[in-house]
Amino acid sequence: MRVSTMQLHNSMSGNIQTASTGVSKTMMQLSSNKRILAPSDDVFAASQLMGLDDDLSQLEVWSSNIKSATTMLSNQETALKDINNNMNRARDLAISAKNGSKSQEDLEAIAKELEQVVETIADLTNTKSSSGEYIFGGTKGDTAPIKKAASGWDNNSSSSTRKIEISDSQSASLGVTSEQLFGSSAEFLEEMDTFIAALKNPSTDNAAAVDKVIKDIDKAQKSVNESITTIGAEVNTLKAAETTNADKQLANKSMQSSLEDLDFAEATTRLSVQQTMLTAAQKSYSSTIKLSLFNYV
Amino acid sequence: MSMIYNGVSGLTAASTALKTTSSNIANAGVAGYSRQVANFTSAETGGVYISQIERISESYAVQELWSSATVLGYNTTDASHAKRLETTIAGNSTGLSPVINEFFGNLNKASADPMDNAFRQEVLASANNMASRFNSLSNSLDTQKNDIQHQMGSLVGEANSLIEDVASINKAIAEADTAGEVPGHLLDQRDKAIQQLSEHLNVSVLIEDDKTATITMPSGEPLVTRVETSEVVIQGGFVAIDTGVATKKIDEPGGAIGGLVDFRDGTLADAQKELDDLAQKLVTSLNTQHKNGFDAKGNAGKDLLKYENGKMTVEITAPEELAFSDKADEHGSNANLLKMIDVQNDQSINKDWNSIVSKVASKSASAQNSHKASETVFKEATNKVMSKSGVNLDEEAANMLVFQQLYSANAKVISSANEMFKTVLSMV
Repeated sequence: MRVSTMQLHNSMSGNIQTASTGVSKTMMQLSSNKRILAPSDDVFAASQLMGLDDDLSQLEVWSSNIKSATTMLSNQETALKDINNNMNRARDLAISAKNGSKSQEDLEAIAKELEQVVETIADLTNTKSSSGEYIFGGTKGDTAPIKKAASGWDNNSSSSTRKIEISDSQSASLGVTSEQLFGSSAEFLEEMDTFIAALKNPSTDNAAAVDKVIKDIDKAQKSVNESITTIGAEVNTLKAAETTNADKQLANKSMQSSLEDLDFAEATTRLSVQQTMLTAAQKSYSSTIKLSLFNYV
Repeated sequence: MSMIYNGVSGLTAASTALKTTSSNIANAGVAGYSRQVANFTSAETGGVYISQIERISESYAVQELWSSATVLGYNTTDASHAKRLETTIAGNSTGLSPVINEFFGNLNKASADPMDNAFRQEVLASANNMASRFNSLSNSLDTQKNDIQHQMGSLVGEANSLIEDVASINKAIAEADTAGEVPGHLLDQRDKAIQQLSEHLNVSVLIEDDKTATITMPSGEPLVTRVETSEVVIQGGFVAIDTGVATKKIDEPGGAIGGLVDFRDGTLADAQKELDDLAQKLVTSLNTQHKNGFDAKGNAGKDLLKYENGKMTVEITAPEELAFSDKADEHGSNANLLKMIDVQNDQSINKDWNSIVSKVASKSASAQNSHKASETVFKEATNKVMSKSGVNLDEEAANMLVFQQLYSANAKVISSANEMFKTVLSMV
């Protein structure tokens, strides 16, 4: 084929351009360690990556929810254990009141201490979280759950707790409410008040009152212990969910990296081939350009 | 005597040929120059003469170059705008995914402690982020559309001045044709102008008997007829041809201008429509759910977002007004909030967005491939023309040697004829 002088120049400079474009793209891939620099480089992989990105941010949110739920449940657990200890104390005091040798003065002292125990239990039930929410208030966390009323006690909590998402198929219940603990009108506290009143009244048969209150305390403790067990089970579920979540995040990231990360060995080999090609194109240009019949005429 | 005349004819022919060679050498670097060859023809008298200075050009190859320029022009504008749109939409700092995920993520985090104002503030902040990201994306697409209109305007202006160029060269060519031979440089200039015009628009070219070029749109509208021209105009965003008598809209202008029109009304318009639909759906479904709930003060929820004329705004400024509860008297409930979170998956917000990105990316990938392919075709067509018409300096150097020798030989013929004549004279 006949080749004109301009054509020769054009095609050789075209070769150099093609070779240097290749080198520059490989260099960009190497410096970002990414195989895909724009979605159009690999549309299919890019669309998978977008889905994986969305999944990952969802997993991160669930992981943060798991942490929040764990904190809330452990706050409740601590408070419930304290309540349980105070109930034990109430039971000891009640039993000591059964002893016939106690004077009315002694009984008054026991009643006074029991009043304090009741108040502590009420305070513990009204525990607030760091954000100011009553932890046993359920979905009415802005109102103190337990409140001394004109006669007896008011229990203001909601009947159930919130749920939050912890995975695509699971949600966690955030513990128990004071209604679940003590009944809708805080019966336990009222029963304690009745007992205290009986102790203070010299004409009551203390032995019968003590027997009744022990039963009441047993029943309340059973409820508290059941709650502690429920919370423990919930915490275990959260731990399992956290492990699954972490596994999924790991799998997601490794899938992302297999889709978008650069095969370093392949890229460096490619770079050196491209550089050789570029050098060859430049050398052949510079040597061809010197050839001209005019040099010999 | 005829020997001297033969010598003189050879001398003249050789010097004309040398002049042609010198002109080829001088123009070797001029793009679009067609080499010229002096054709030697034997005279009946035994001498020689240059019957024609032939301009070497293959019309079939040139036509092919023009049509490949049209395709390249189209694909160049298409690919560059597709790449630009892809960069806008897929960029991590410009795309919607991160802000959508952040917004729904913050809603989800708030569900753990819905009365905590810190969480509510985060939700509002990320709603504002989402709205402003959406608005800036929508602005970028508008800007690209405006840029396309401007680019169309300037390309149409260029096309019109090329049309005028062709007409005025036509005039010079017709005059030269009447006078005798048409100089090669006029034809070269016209070929170049037609090639540039072909990059802008898809045109059909016919060379008439008087060597003028008639240029029409493939749908028949005339652009150049001898010295008469039509004007390319933009009417209501579309290309039209104004012949002076009538104006006709061109559906498929082709070339760089056609590439712009098609990109604007295809890829870009689709992306804008889908983005608009997505925003509308997101705002409507979030608002509907939000209004089902009750805020931190027990009031019924209001509109959370507004979407109007392509602009998204957050309607709520006080964090307490976020309606997360499902009951007026249970401020700590997250039941409505959980349903707002569900909007993300139920309405396939992320999937819709990802499909917008994927569509643009695959349009961009195929546009880049088509661009590469048409570049190759254009290069081959250019090579074909250059291979036929381009100057090869080695060839010219050889020709120069041949014509120099021809010149010397003929000079020798004249001088030896002269010698012979002298000899004969001295004998008398």
